[in-house]
Amino acid sequence: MRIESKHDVTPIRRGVRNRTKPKKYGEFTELSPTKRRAHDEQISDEECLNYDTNLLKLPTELFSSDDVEGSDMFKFKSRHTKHDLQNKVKTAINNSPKVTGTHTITPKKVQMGLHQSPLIKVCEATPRHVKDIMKKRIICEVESDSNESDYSGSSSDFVPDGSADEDAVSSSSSVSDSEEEEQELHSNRQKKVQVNKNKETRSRPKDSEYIVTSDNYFLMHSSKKITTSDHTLARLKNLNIGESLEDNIQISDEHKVKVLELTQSYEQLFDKWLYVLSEGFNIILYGVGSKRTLLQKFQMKKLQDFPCIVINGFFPSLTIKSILESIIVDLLENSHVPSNLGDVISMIDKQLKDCGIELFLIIHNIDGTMLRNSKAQATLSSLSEIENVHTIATIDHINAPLLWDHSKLSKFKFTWWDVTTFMPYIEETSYENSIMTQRSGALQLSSLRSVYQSLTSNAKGIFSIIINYQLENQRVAHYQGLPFKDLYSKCREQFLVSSDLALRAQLTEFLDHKLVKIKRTYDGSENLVIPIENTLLQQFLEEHDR
Amino acid sequence: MESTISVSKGVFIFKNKFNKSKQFKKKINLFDRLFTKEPWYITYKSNWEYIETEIQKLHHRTYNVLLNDIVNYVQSFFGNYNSEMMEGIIPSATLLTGVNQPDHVSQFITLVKKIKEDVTPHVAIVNSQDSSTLKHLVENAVSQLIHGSETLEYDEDEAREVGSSQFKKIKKNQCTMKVLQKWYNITYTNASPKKKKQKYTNKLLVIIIPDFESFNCSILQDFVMIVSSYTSSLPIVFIFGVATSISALHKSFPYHVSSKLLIKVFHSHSSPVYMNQVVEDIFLTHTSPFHLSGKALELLTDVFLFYDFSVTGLIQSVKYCMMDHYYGDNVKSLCCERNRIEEVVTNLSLDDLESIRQLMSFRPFVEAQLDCQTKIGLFEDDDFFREVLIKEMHKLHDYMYTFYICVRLLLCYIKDIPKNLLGKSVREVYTKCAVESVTNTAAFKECMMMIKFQSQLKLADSIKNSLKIINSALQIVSPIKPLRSTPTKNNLNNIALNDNLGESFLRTVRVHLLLFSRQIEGANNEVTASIQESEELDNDIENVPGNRYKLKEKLLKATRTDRVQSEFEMIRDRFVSYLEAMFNKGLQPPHSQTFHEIFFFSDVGNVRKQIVGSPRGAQHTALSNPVHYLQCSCCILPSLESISDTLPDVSVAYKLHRECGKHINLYDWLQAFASVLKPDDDQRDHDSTIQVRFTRAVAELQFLGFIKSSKRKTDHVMRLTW
Repeated sequence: MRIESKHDVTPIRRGVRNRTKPKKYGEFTELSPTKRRAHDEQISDEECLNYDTNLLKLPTELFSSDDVEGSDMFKFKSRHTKHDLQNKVKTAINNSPKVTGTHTITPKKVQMGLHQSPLIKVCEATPRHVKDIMKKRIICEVESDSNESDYSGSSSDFVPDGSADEDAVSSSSSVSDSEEEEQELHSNRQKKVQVNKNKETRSRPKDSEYIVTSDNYFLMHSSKKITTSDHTLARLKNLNIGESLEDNIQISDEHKVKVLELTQSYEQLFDKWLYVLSEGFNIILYGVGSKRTLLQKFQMKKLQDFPCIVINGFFPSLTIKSILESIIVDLLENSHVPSNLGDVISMIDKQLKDCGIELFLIIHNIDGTMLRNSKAQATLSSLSEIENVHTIATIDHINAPLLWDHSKLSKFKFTWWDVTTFMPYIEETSYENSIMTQRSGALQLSSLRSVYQSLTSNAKGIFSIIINYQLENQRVAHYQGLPFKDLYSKCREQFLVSSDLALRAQLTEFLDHKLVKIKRTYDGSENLVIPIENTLLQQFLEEHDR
Repeated sequence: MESTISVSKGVFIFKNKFNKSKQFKKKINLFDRLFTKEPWYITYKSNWEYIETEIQKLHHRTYNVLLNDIVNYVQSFFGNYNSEMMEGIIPSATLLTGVNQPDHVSQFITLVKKIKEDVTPHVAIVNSQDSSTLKHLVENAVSQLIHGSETLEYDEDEAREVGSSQFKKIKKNQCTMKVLQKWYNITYTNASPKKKKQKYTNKLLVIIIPDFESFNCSILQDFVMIVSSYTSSLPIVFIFGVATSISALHKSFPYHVSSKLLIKVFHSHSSPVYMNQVVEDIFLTHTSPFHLSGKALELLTDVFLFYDFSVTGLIQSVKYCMMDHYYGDNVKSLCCERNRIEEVVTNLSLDDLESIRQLMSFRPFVEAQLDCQTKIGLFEDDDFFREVLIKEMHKLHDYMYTFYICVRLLLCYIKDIPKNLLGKSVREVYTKCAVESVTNTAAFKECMMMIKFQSQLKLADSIKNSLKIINSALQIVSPIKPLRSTPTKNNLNNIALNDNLGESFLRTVRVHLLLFSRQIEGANNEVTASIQESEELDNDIENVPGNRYKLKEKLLKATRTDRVQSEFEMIRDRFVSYLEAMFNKGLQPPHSQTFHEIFFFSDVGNVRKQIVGSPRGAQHTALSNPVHYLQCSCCILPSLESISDTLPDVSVAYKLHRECGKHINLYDWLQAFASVLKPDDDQRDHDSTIQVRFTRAVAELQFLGFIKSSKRKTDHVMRLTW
């Protein structure tokens, strides 16, 4: 992968320099960007003097001032706290001009938020007793504010007031939740003070330029514990967002105009692309935003006279064989595809040359899931190498360039074009199950419901026995499932089944729909588990009882 | 146009009137219709073809020695392939090629060609991608060995005679070693009796494995073992291309396999050497029709040295630069051979002339004209402008000629200077010279200082070398008459360079250098007599023992008096100042020349983006600072880190997610997202549009690869970056 950070390519330097301790995140960010830069320059000047003598060769023309700084892109924080997110939002709200008007009700708080960071900086220069007073004052303010609203100086997790109240009324579990939060709040505050103290007492090591130290990485991954809050999406009111809403994507009018202008500016490149393609190079498009429409336009405007093959790399059941088949069987009208890659390539090459035609491969997302293996990429690169085949591909995944090694890249002969369109990835993400909807379990719930409705009343009874048992035992650390013989006896009690066999017959239906899984224990007994989250089951039961 | 979205297939064909049964021969190249009429395209095409043939020639020259060695080695088994002598042992050559595998393709192709010409028509080249199993490997090798011969013309009659037509139809999946053996027996051993007499008709079978490391070890081992069992009847020779080191061969072949191989190792050039050669011989000469500015060359060599070590890649990049240089600009058709200038200038349209007047380097040229009439004429009178243009073009050609020779001369003098201030190769010196006027730099001055310390022998040597360069350069231009007139000594004092550049400049430099070299060789290195006399005077004092005070005084005096130079030193000083003057004249940077834009490609920034893509950087910029692309008024941020509600949703989500650790709580993330978008809305929890927007943003971030779902904790996602 070609990384455009200045700092990644200087491993030798890194080795020579005296190692500084891995910095705490706070110290890194506390320096304002300008300050940091100044530091960098100063140090790099010194370094230049030192390293001139080492006769190190560094690339001179490869990087320019408008490159993205590595430190921006790969911001490495060894310690993430819960408050990062809140602080961010806070500053965002404070910064945005709109809000200042609406937040006049709590001027004190806003003021404090604004002045918080200067305060800390002042502290460094002030004598200790003054510092202590200030610290107390900050804590006081924080505590008094935190009760009133959610974005206060301190750092509560996001508990919108209304919902918290309702929760408290509705279920006892959320009461304990909020209590926990209270405790958390306290401990957080203490922690924060602690951190402040540490910061002030230690003399700051000299800030140097961005270096990825391995220590930081291991520090980050050492703790198994996940320090995020325990909130789940179950807190949301409307879990199931209608599918229809997905269609209208909200973009402000100005952005709409600008996005249109942007794509129009890329259309100017079409002739040049054709020129580049005709000279035997291939084209790869990158940048945020869907590039499908742009490529479709290109195809429509410029490639009307050429045979084209459009490949949706994001299509989840795409195979490399189907691509080859469509070229060899559908386009070149052969009867079958040879099994060996080399034969396929030479066959296509020969037939295209004989016919004297140029074939265009338009690959949307050459980094798609099904094309992410080396065999697929080897095939595509060999195809692209053919003189009469011209490839235009797009990439979106951040690690896409890792797909190609040296020899594949040289076969592809890519020229890279930045076409950031900011268009929503509608088709590209449509095959994917989004984390949000998947997590919210709307799909699972609805399918559960529909299967349940089609069951006989006896089967419904059996299923609810399993559900109830699972919910009763959810506190058990290693829940093994409901043993089959227990289920049988329970079913018999309720006159749901008369024989072992009948129960098994009922269960096969559940197994077929994957509503129930059978786990075998060491002693050979069968245990039945429903592979659905307990909260969902709870919801399902409640719905059903109503 | 049909839609290309379907839930059942991912590949869509647009035949666009293409029909295989119809012959498309009449349309030779559909692309060509686009640009062929344009003068710039014609010039570009012809120039690139010229460069391509030059590269081909260079390939031949560089590979020649090595390939000849290999061919000779292979040939040594030709006559005396004696099965009794080496039982089960396969002769094999190992070619250490270096890590830049893509470059080797051309090398192996020439090797195959050469072997086919000189040794045997039966050559198989087997790539690792075509031999995933032993079966494939054998099929591939055997079918190439059998069928390869029939494509060659001179073998055709022989094949017919022998009656091998039955083998012509051999399908690939029937190719085994047994078939090969049978075929070989029929073709050679049992051939007509007249052939049996000539023993050497028994042709070798050569199998080339160009990418040894990419092969599966066990497959190769088996293959070698199988082949070794056939050595009694089949004269097979292996050629391995090894990219890393010979130890790779030893590692992948255990003793029982390697004992079957008779290995001889050949070394090829390392790729930086080859790259230097290509750059120096093809692009950094005045014969090249297209010139890279210092920065452009630096970019390309940086890509080479720091990314891929691929000379093919470098050449492709130069091609891209060239394409970019010519693209859509008829003015660039002036960038052609010298003898076509007049023709091209007369063909230029008025618009083209106007765009030439717009060139940046034209302004200083106009300002330099003292005569008001010429100034007006340059703008008004097109014919006059054409004339001036032709003159300037010739001047530019002269300039380039001198410039490249001077670069080489400079290198010749500074090559051995410690610290290599200006570099060790032509390309390094060229980039230094092309970026700024090198004679004004500290490095150049230091180099000249160093030359002032050089010994007589060394100096004479470098002058000789530089004379060689000049002589060879002049021979390119015209067969030079041997210089008979011996330069007289007295004209040495008024050595001055006249204004001309080009060939005449070189001739004068040559004469001057000859003079200097003669003088330096003949110069007396002894300190002159006057000092010796004074030393004799001092001798009396030194004779007095213990007069330390006097000695001290004498030493002090010696420091005060100017050291008198020897004859050699005087000449050396004069020579160095001559060099400075000469280089000052010859090494003016290209951008100081009028109309340099036409010949020198300098739009590095633009081309860099295409050659060295920066997908990650673009994504980061787009997400953290959308204004960069959108140019909208609403999203201007005080700093890169800050968030505002007007940003695109993905951008907001991206910025928030960067604040999180390895795991992100979706609920918290959503709340943060919501409060950024609607900070004053208490009811945001009920607002499903926010939720939809967030869902979409998260899905896009997942698609871009920043996050993935995690099973560690409910409703959490994993961050994939840090």
